[in-house]
Amino acid sequence: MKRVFWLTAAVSLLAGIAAGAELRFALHDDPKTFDPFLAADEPAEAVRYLTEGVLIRINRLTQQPEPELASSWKIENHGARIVFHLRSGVKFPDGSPFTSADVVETFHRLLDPALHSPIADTFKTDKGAVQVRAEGPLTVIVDFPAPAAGMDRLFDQVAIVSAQATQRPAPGLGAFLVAERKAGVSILLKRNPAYWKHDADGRPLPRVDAIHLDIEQNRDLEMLRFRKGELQFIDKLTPDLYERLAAEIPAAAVDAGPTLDSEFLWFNQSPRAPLPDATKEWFRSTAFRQALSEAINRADLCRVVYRGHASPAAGPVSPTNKLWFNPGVRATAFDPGDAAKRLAGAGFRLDGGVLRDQHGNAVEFSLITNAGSKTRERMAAMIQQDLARLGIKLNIVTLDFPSLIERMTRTLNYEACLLGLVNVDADPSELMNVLLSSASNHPWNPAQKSPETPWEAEIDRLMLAQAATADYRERKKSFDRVQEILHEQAPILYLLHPNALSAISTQVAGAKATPFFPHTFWDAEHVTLKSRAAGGL
Amino acid sequence: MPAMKAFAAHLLRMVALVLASGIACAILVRSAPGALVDERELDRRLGEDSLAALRAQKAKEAKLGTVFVRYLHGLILGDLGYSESNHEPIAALIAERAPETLRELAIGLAGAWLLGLGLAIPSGRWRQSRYIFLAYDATSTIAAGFLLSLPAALVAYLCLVAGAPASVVLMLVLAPKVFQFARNLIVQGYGASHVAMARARGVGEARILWAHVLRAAAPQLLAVAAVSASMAIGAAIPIEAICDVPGLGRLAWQAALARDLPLLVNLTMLVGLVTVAAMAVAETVSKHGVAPAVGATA
Amino acid sequence: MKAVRTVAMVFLILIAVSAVKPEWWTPAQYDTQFRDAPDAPPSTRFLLGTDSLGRDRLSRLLHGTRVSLVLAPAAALLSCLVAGALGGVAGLAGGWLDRAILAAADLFLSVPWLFLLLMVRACLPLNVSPMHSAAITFVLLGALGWAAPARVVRAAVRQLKDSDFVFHAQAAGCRARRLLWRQLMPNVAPVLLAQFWVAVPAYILAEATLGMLGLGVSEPLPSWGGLLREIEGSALGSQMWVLAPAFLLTAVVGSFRLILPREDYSV
Repeated sequence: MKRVFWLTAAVSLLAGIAAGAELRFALHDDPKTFDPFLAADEPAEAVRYLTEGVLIRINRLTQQPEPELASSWKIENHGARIVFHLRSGVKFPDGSPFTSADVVETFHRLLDPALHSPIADTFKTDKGAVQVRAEGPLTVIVDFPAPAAGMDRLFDQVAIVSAQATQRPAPGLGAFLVAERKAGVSILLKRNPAYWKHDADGRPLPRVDAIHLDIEQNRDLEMLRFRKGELQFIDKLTPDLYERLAAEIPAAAVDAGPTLDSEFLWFNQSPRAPLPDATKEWFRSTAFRQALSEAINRADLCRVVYRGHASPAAGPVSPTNKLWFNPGVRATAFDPGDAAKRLAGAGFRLDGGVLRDQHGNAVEFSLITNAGSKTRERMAAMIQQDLARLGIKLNIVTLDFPSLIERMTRTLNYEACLLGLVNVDADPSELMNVLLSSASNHPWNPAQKSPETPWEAEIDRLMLAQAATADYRERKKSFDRVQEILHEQAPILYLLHPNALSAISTQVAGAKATPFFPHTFWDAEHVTLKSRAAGGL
Repeated sequence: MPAMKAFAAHLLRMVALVLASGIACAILVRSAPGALVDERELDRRLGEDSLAALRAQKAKEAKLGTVFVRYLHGLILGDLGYSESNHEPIAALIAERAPETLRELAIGLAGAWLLGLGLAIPSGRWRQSRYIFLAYDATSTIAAGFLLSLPAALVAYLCLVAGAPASVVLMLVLAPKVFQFARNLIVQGYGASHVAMARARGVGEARILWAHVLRAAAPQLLAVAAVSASMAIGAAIPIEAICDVPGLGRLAWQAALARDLPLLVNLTMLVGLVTVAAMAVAETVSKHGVAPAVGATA
Repeated sequence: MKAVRTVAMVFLILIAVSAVKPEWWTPAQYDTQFRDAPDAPPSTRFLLGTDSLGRDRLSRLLHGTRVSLVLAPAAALLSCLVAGALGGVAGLAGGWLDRAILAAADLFLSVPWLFLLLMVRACLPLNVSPMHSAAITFVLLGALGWAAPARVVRAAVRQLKDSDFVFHAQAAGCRARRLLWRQLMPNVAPVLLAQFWVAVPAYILAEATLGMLGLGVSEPLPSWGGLLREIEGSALGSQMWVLAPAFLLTAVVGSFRLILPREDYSV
């Protein structure tokens, strides 16, 4: 019986190989790095996801942490320690066994102060960095300097590297290995023969032999190739292309629902900004911000710009994030009448179709956004028309990212900015460097020495409080209040949460799109390709 | 000896121009907003220490003079520097991307010349048969005019949608220009008295074309060839950016978007070198014949 | 050929007239958003349909035409004035000044301005109206495009300087200013005019390319470049009307080329 099983397994494996099962999809740029600790751009993160092994993997479908290279883990010491029990029998592609020494070496390299890894920074606090030590070959203890909320989720991004490798980056413990790279053209990933996972039937994973990642920046070309059957996934579709695909091949177009991402705009409230005092005064007025929030028709933005594939936003947390979304906070309703009343109450008046402040200055300001994003340019044009109804003149300026960043973080020479935030993790700690008033990336008034308003001080206190405890209910209470303050004070006008729009070829079996990155290939090891004879796109 | 001196002077001028284009590029990039920022600064996972380190790294490029001297020193040693936005040495990046661009340029230019010259020759050949000439000339001129009236970026996009490679786009962009220059030369050539005499002597048409028309027009055609090479380099940037070709044009576009100063300086100097060399060829030829009128370019 | 030129001229005049007051022919302003009818196909209400924000395409096309037809000649005039001044000085003065101007022209021609325009554009102030931003785009094109015509003007001036009639005028005691205005300028003017007519379609096309690369005129003002950008991502097979800006641009640029003096193509 056993012989029959092995024979069947061998035949099925050979059948797969004979079919040359190769999955093909596109990355929209060359990965900036193959160093798993420095991966920050989406292509590099995609390669890391497919080629590296982690201790804990967040299941993209359930959003729950699942054991991966750690067969189990336990949180101790009131949320300040995590003890990992490692999986035995796992080997690196060079044949060396995976042990606790590799995990210790991984953290030693990751936390190297000279590396400046964004992943490492999530393991550092003002009280210090984590301490990692081995206790035997298959046990690792990670001590945080203080109780850390959602600490287990952080390990989803930490690729475990071999302690014995002499060349870096070295092949990892993921389902695939980088076999070939043609700069700017493609990356070929081949199945990792030493991969430890098997499916429910005991067959080795991954099921496909290779993944061919084409570097394809042009979305039209990507779509064209998908329709020809040359690509099996499109991880992220624009609303326009999604609609076209849905009309042509409904079975291939997938709307996985709202993502964790959000699109928003904010006003520059920094006292250091080289702006006229009158402009600063408008932006620091809560009534002004609230009025503008009411004047923007979020439903229209979702319907027209996103073709209905987005939902109006109430705050930074998407309704998809069921753990942390505060249902008590609703997206601001479109009400230009109420907006006008608010402005009148704050001393603004309409004079010949032009809104003027109490000093007689016409309300006119610029909105910067990144060039090259059609959706943002369209949103800006719609906001422009909405605000024109109140007598506000908005000038839209599209800038490339470097000049946008310089204005946002150095010169502070801008008035309002429209951008989006891509959330990878659902935990509120993700937003620490955005919401803390002292943070350099605090959008509306960065790097404050001490909070300049009482409500910002409260946000700081609540964010630090939620991060200092592992108790979900306490954390939720604090973070709910943060969402309420953001809604009341409107320092950021959250506009919408776009849906995850993807394409999955009918040639593929076992793929399911999720609202979280990666949307389509998060379970690539279980994906199989149907034979061409069986049909499909 | 005077020829050698003139050649040396030409060479020196070329080197000076190429260096000046590099300096101009460096000054422009350095003084543009965003020159000293790193896109990673927006990564909200980064702590204050890492942000400060990133900024310090970019601040090293603040002193342009030092950067350029260091670059020239490296250049003499054969080191083109390092591209921060691509995490790769620039020499390796250029070596990776150049073959694609060279292939595209070679096919595009060859196609453009075959098509342009191929369409221009009958114009001259049928010069004497009034109606055929008029019909053919009008048709080919209208076709060339139509292509010249389309922005290169639109031709690129339409070709992309149709599945045509970038070399075809380049061919379609350059062929009408080659046609217009070549047509006039060839019509002029066929109108020369020695061609009429050769015909009267019973010389075959192929020989007339080769020995009397093309050979006579060779210097000007060479000048046009040089100009078309520099036009091709200029057109390659938007074409590669739109057609998604992993060549030097797309690399330059991405470098500009990322304010990658060392990479931009290298690529500007490379493009400058080709353009200056092309202009030098055209100028040298023009001293021995008539220079082609180069239209305004933007 | 004369008939074709006349047709081209009449076509250009018709287009220019229709773009003077687009409101007369269109149902709305170019920026009015009919949010209940985004991406509408052509109808009696919207002759060319609407764009993704429900704005009337015909209105946007005519306004975009006006922007290009006003600003491209202005930019061409700018580059020709600079070219005339610098090329003239180089040709007349000779010596080191000639070499310096020629080197500057060669430098301008050898720099790949397309991607460096990204940097130039990033330097501009934020609070400028869309019309001003459009003007700035064309001024930039004009300011960068002087080098090629300057070389042509320089060559023409040098040729004239060495000509017999100038020699005779000098021998007759003609003063420098009179020589310049009465002898040289009238002879250089046709060269500059030809360069002007070459530059106009070149700048229209340059703006279109910049627009397609996302470096064009800012929202909501339409320009041909911005309108052509909308073609990207459209289903061309079923929405042929989105190609209307491409057809109009080709017809206008083609007409400009047709009315060019024929000699200008010559080698």
